[in-house]
Amino acid sequence: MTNQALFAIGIFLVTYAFIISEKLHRTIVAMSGGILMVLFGIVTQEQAIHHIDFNTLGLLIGMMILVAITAQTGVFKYVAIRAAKVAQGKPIRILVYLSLITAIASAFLDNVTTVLLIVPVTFSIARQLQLNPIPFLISEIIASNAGGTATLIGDPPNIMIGSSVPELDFMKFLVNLSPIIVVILAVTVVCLVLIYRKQLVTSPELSAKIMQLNERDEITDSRLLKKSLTVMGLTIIGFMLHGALHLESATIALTGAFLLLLLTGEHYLEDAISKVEWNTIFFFIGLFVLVSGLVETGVIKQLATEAINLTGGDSLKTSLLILWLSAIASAFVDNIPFVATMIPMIKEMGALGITNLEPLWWSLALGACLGGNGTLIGASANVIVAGLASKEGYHIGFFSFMKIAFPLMILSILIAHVYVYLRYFIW
Amino acid sequence: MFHYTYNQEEIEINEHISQQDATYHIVVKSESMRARVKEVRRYFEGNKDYTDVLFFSREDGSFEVIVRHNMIESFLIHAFRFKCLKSICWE
Repeated sequence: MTNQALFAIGIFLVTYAFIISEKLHRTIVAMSGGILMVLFGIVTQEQAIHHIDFNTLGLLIGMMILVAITAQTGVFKYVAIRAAKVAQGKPIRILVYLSLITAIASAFLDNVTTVLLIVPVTFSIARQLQLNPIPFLISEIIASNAGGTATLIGDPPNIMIGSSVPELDFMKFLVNLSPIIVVILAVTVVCLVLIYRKQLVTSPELSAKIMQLNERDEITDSRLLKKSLTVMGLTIIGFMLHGALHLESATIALTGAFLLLLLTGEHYLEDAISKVEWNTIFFFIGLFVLVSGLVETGVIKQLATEAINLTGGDSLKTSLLILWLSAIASAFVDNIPFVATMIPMIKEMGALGITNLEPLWWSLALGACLGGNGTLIGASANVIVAGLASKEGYHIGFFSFMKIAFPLMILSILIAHVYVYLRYFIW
Repeated sequence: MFHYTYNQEEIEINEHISQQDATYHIVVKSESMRARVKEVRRYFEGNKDYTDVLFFSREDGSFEVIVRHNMIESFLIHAFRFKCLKSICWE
């Protein structure tokens, strides 16, 4: 191994350790790691820029703009209150409906945005029913991570995989991942109901209070709502067709975002741009450059060779290794840097002789996204919800979350294990 | 403790303060006051604190506002700013 490779590994490991320790903001750490790769001459500036995946960044920015404008219409609050009323104010039904809404929304919007929209309404509904909101919040976290796994645009790991492997388009993600996510979600929600059923009891008077809410009043701007929903619908159709149209997913998302801005006018521009999570965007840029150091010095190739030696190059064993490794790793470390490291490794495995890479990609997506449910620090949505709960005086502790979520995560990975085995190696 | 007054011909406010939060049941008696209450709502829904002040509209046209304990003063100050209240003072 060359000195350059050793330097690259050193920078990578130190950066990773700082990201995990959360002593410094992860964006500062990732950018610093990336800059060190360039300063030490491990990659040139041109190589670093070449490794930044602008498709991932464009897709994230486009969707963030679309959601920022749509959120202003009040549509998400409308849907949540409507669901609570359809559930007739009964807490168990509300938990099921809010979990399903969160999962569906997370499949098309990013998970953090989804929980930021659904959690305040959940607090309100729980307060109206005089219930502890924690069962609802934990269900929403789990549903959000599960729902995000179902599509190319639902969760950053999928965005990164879809962006790196052009043949895996939106429809392929939907066809390969959504059926198993439906099963996992159904099993998980049933388990959550069984776990929390004793806490989800309220009086008929309090349930009746929910029925008095006027959800129509939540729609603050019906003209904007029509425009937003039309453009959102067109964007989703665009994602479904992007493979056939030979357009990258970022092109679709940015077209949707700027079409909506074109329709709404410039007074929405500044607010929408300010709501883009630039921290996350720069975190991605830092990671892409950080991993480029490992790619350019041959470290990734070496790791892929070792993994193939371990599994004997067998596609099934490699898929299942990736599934479980990704799940366990993503439960404890941020799944974005993990996936950023795994993508070049899987590509290298292809170059080293594994002919059918598709099961490996689906295993990575399932493991990395569902693994985020394992602990409170496994995914950004988990941390955000815990933060909001703590502001409200409800503490979701690391271990109290893990006690519920980790077994459910293992159960979901077991289901995914059976699915990968049956769908890609038996049928 | 914060004390506030309002014009009873335009608005009726019932306050219930618990250990965790305060709930205000607001009945508006004119469309201009409804617009002002909605201004307050827009202000709090537009900030980056997602659970500070939660507004609900009821089928009978009244509002229920749930305010986190540490935000009560801020809520009342903004209700005053948007002319939903006549006066506010420390007692």
